[in-house]
Amino acid sequence: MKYFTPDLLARYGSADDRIADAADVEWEIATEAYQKHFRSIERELPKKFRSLLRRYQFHDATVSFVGMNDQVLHLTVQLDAPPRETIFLRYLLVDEFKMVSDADSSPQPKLPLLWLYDEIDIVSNGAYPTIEQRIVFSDGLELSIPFQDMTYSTAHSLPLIAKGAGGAVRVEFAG
Amino acid sequence: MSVEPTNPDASEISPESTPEEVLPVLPPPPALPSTSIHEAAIVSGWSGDVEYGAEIDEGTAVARRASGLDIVIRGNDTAMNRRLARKIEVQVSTPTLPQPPHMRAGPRALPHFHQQSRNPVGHGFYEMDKRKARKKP
Repeated sequence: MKYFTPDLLARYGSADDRIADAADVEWEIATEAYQKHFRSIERELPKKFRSLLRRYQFHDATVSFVGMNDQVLHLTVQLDAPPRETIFLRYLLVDEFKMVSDADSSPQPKLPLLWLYDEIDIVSNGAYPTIEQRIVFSDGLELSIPFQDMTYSTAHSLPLIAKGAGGAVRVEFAG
Repeated sequence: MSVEPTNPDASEISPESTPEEVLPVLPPPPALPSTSIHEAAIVSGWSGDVEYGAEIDEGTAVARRASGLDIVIRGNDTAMNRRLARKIEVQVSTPTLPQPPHMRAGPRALPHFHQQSRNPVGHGFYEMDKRKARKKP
């Protein structure tokens, strides 16, 4: 992560008010810098990716699946904000994705894996630019995804009740 | 033989002086920053905006969080708000560290606590001096 570093997040969470307040200020500065950066690259992002970013907020989404099939990376996440839709993300990779673990973090398998923050960059220009999305998860893992295009679909969860289950599931194909 | 008073002001104090005349007049103390706890709800969509509702007491806030609903601490003192939000979340169970609003979130997205286990769900938001919840319409 370039803007939102694990160190900054750790200081943001400090129990020492002086440290936490200073990190508040630093976070707002980083936010402004990232928003300026994002506006400068937004038009070059794939159309479907732009629509995804405009429609959904991934912070605190629960990650239930990460997997590969050929050159496609699949992520399944359930959003935190109502109505808590599930999003099926499919990234067409142009290179190997990278996973880096924060040295200070320790995996806690009993806790749900949450999507905390992400940053987007263009790492190579041209007719088909390579996009990189860097995601930091609640266990301290950072995933860097280099891709040229992506698709997604969404669904509302269906309560699995043995008797009397009602209501239909609406599946939206966005790809 | 007369004795000069050591404190020149003492010469002005007479048995008839009122307390206002004897005691120095101090400026009023600065108003304490006020903090209030409110029901809250996160707005659907990408902005992460937070809406606040009725004011509640701390016990009600803990019960609301235990049932998976959102609360927000309102006020201008970020540190005080953060401490109170943490105090409430700890009474539910084990909270995360405070999380800042996402960089792509809107100006009314707020930092927050939630449970590490996500059970119960929901958030304990707190306002900052520059980031505020909006009133629930």
